[in-house]
Amino acid sequence: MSDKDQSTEGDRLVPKLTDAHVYEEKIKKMKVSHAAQVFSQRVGAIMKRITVMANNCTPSIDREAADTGQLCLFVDNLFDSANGNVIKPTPGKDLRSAVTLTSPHWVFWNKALDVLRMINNFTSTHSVGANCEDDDSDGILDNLKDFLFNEIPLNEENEDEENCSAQHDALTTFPTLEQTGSLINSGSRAYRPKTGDTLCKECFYWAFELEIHSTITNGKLFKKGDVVAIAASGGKDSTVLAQVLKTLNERYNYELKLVLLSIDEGITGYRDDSLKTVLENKDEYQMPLKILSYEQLYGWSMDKIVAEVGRKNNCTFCGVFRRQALDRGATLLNVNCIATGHNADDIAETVLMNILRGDVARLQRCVNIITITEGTIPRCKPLKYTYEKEIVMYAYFKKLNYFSTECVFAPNAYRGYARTFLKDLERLKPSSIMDIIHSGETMCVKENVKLPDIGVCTKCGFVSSQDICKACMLLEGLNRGLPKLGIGKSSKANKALAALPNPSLLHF
Amino acid sequence: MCSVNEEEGAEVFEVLKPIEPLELKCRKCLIEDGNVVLQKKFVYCKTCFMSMVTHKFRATVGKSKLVNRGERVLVCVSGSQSSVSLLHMIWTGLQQSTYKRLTFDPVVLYIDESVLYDYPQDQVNKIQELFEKYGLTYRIVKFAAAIYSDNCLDEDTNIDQYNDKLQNIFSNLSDLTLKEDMLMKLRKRAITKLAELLKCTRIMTAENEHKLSIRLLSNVALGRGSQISLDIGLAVNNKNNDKTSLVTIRPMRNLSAKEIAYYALFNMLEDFMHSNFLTATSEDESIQKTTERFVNDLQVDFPSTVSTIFRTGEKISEKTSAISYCLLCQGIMDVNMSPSSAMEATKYSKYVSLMGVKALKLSLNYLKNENTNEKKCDGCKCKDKQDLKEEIIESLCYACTHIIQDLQSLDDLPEEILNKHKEKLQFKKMEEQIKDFLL
Repeated sequence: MSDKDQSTEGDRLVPKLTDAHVYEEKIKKMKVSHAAQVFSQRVGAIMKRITVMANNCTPSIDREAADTGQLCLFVDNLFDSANGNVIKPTPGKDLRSAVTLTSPHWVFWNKALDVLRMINNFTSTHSVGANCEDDDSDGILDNLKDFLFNEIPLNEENEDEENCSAQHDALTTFPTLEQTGSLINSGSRAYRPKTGDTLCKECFYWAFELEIHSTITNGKLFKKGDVVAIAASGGKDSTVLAQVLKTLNERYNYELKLVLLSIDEGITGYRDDSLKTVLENKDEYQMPLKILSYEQLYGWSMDKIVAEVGRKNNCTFCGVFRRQALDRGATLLNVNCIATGHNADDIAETVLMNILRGDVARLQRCVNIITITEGTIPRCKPLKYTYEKEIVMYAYFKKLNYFSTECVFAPNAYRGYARTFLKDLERLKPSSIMDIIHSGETMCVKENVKLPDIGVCTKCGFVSSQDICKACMLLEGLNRGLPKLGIGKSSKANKALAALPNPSLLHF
Repeated sequence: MCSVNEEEGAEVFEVLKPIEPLELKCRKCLIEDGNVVLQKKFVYCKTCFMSMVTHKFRATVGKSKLVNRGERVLVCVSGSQSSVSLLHMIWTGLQQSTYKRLTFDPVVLYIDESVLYDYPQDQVNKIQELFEKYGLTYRIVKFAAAIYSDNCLDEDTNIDQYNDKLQNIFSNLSDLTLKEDMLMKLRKRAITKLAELLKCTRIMTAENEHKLSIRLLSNVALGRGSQISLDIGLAVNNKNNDKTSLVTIRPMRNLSAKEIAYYALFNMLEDFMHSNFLTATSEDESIQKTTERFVNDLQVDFPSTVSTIFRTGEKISEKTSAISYCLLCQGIMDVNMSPSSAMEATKYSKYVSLMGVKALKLSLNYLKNENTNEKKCDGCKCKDKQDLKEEIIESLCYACTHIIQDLQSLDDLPEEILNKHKEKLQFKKMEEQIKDFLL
């Protein structure tokens, strides 16, 4: 066409258009600017006009060119509609503006979808096909249509899916369109913290959910018909866990019955607020919820305990009690498995912590995706390989309702060091988190190292490595007015207990 | 004292115990005045300190009779304070006329790495002087020669070419973390090779407790968890050496950096410049340096940090059921991982992000099949481009894979690695051919 332009018209209408734009052999390297020029409004309009005029006199430009012109106009509009950077539309470029409920974008996009589908079916008939070259840039076109689908809510998810892949395949034969596509979507993409790839929102959801699905199936975490308790704190991890498990359960027919299990430690200003979030989640996800409180299990709320033991060491109480409380709650609910929201960052941090503390037994245990101890309910971590950053991203994109405040009682100082270290490592090399988990998984403990035997607490019957479990020890200390009793070495506590006037009077 | 909030105030002040004035006398002999304070509370005089340090060293060497009488031991000296002290300790041990005399036959080794960094010109000469003074058998070998040359003990005419190759490898690696990791692995390679050439069956290196615990943590961060015992253990049996088993001993591993510094000071030992790629780099540029800062900072607040990390490392061993070893670092390969592992999960997330929505259509089984197909096809499918790289990666451990992936060209790798790889491949092919006939 530029040929015609040069030969027939004295003054060129499209000065910017050169041979390099049109002929396959002359295309040096497809540039975005070229693509933009080809599909500009001006070229489209002129091409259409010329064809109409030319049809009357010379037969050199066939009718198809008019359609090509139309296509150019369409692509230009499509580009504008997503590229708009001004609020008020300029005349003639209506679509190059902000999207509002009343703006012409919606009508246009609906049409655009039809056209895109059409292109899908008639790729070969269009003369632009001359420019075809196979390009491997997977996913860019996904973004184009994902973007469109994002903006235009579709009713049926299945249809969405089908269109996605179908269009994807067909449109890969349009290199120029692809180039434009990548521009259009620059706004809706996200940088994936885990792999460093750029993905659009929709693809990120799929990737995120699919990965958890594969973790669940590979790790054989659940059996069909299992009742699974989700340990819900109201924080981001457990909220995302509940959301994802619900989605996957429906999508892949796990046939699970999901219940929420919350522990109320009785921390005013922290847990009471986060439990509100859990209650909202309960309604949103339609899952039964069970809340157990320290008050009703042990007779002591954390507020009371802190009043007794002070601000130091109170995390020991909270942690030890919660572990047992979850077990008790799960027994009450009669579930097969407890799913906790530990993410990859948590696990890597724990690996580091256990090395720093010299706790070899836990070092081995902490990387297990599912912990099965005889006499207890198995616990699993479906988010084990999911980065914290991605969880936040998922929650942010999905606008999930979660609670994010640090516990009002002093944050655990020592763990803080490990956390900062891990963040430093992640900044240097995002794969560090996975590397640390990998290290944890492949480490073996020497055969001659003595590991604690797992037994049962003589008082409460729960799993313990000692005669009397830590929870009972701590509780005994509280009840006897010796709050420091269970803190520190158990051998010392045992001695102290033996020295007490009447050890047989332990009551539970 | 402030009376508001008395309860909490009492708590806070409880922690700060009044600092007791230190004893002035040595805690051991109780006669001499103290010269050194260890762990903020133990005071030693010079004599008692020296005997304590020497005892620690000898206890580590003597433990479970690691070195036999008359055995040839390669003593690696880098010029660092630690290694100079090690040399001095060994020399002192050999001089003793009583029953305490060390009875092995040491060969001192200095690997000249001046090609990689700017060392003072006369460094090698100074080190030679030092070795001469001790009067022990010694060898000074160029790093590049030790890696590339077959007869590196003699003068080699190709040394310039080797130097270029070595420099190429490191300039090809963009990441500081990987550079340092590669340096460690190549050093280890060179030492192992020289030990064999010099007919030594034991290797002694001078890492102290501090350095080893930093190495342990950075190993974990790099994904080398399974190789911890190889890198920090007292005695490491290089099992892949079929003919002679080579044991690496780290006799200084129970000594802290401070103890060694004082040992060197009291004996007036001169140490030499000893660099690596991390020297004079910022702490935010490499994993190793970040780890170092982390451990150092923690050590200030919690003085038992280093020793705890170190003791944890002692309890970790390598897998006994290892089948294959990494070509580059000779560590254990993590083969036959269960489907639910960090390795598989990483592979899967790469795959998912690459395929996008497409991955949905392909079931998990399909993915697995494809994966195994890829592995199987390695011999035939790969035609051009990066096929060699991909092939080699197959026979590398998790962490070494990262190094090779960052390396642009494989031409500068030591030939043994490439040869060994070919050998492995050949063997695989043979196995493939006869697999139907094996019962």
